[in-house]
Amino acid sequence: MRSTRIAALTAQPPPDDFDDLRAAFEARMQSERIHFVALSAALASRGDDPHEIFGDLVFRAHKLRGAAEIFEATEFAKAANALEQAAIAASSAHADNADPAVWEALGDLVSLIGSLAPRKLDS
Amino acid sequence: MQLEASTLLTKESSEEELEDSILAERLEEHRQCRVLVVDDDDLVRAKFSSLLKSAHYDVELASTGEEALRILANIDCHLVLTDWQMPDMDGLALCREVRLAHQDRYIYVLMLTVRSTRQDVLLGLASGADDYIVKGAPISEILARLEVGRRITHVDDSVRAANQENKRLSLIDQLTEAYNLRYLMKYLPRELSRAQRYSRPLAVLNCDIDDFKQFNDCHGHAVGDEILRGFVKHCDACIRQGCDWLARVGGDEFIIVLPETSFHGAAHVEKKLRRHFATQPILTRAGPIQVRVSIGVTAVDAKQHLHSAAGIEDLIRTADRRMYADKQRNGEVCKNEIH
Repeated sequence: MRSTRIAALTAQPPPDDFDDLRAAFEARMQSERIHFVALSAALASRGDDPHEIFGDLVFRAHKLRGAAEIFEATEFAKAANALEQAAIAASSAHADNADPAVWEALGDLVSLIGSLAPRKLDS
Repeated sequence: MQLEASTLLTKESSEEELEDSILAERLEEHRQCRVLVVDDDDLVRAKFSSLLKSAHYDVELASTGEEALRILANIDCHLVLTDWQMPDMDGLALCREVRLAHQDRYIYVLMLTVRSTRQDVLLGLASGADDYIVKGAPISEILARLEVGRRITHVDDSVRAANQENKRLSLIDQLTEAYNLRYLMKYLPRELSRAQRYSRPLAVLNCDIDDFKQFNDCHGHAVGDEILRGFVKHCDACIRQGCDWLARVGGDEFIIVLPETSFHGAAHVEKKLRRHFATQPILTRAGPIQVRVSIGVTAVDAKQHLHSAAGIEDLIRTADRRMYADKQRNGEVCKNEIH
């Protein structure tokens, strides 16, 4: 018979609870997609002063990455990390709003979230 | 097919190995362990709350470092599982605050973050985290590492409790629960220094139970012990709680220390004690026993300036001399009563 402590190490939450959280995470992803699209528009219109937008991208991508790692959505975590690193690099280099690495990572992340069928993540 | 079977077998055996290697059975099964999860993401908090509760942890949640500190100040938490990047106070600052603020119990801090460079890990540990996990690690690993924290805090709690008990035992007389000579020698000089620094009076009463040996001889040591315990209870009833204190310094000899008390005040306590012992016998298995107490009183006046070491000696010696003088008088009274 397994001890309580052993059970603790291999514990999983009750299925209903887990499903609810998963659904909430998926809903969050869709809402983040809208934020990233809005940030894309803002970045496009900023010209020579995109640093504030880079900061917002870093913040949002970082947060998304953390949640995606915890919900074992590895692809999303990777895409969010790519955007976070690209935005950090662009900000450090005082890049303008046309920084290709940022746009590529932003595009990848938005399309990846867009391709997400309801209730189906890559985990 | 063969490959699948062999993979399954390997998985099963590795699970068994994991179970065999867990020291769980040696720990107290039902010891509660409370984890404080600190993350600004509500979904991450919710997921850990669910996971940890199903792993039999008590869970508290905080969305910022500030909130975490408020919870830690009010609720006893054993483990903290914290994110690094959060608005306002980040995880590093939280670790530093935890280490500075919580000296009386060890809180095991596990940092869980997406920051994964070697420098990040070193910085996290240097800030006071005990362990560092990069988000994306399997949940089973996070739980296993929390178990390490549980074990360590359990050991720490046990050691602290044992130290506290040892400290208590080293300063308390086990028979009577009064303080002992060691306590007197440690704290009477402090009382005297304080009295002298702030020009406050301090009184000392030396008390001895008359003919205590006879009680032991007539009724046995068990009754003698009951008399000693009763004596302490009687004294406690006559002095101020939380201010005055009593130490057993010999077989049946006690010293009562009365801070903020002049000679006049101490004489009042002396009378109170005499009246108490004259009217209230000590209840023992041999029946109620009336004891007579010899008391010597001395005090340091607010204006007196004694050198600390000499002061203690003088104080105790004077009280002792007066107690013996009182004992002689009591002896004469006894003789007069008998004849």
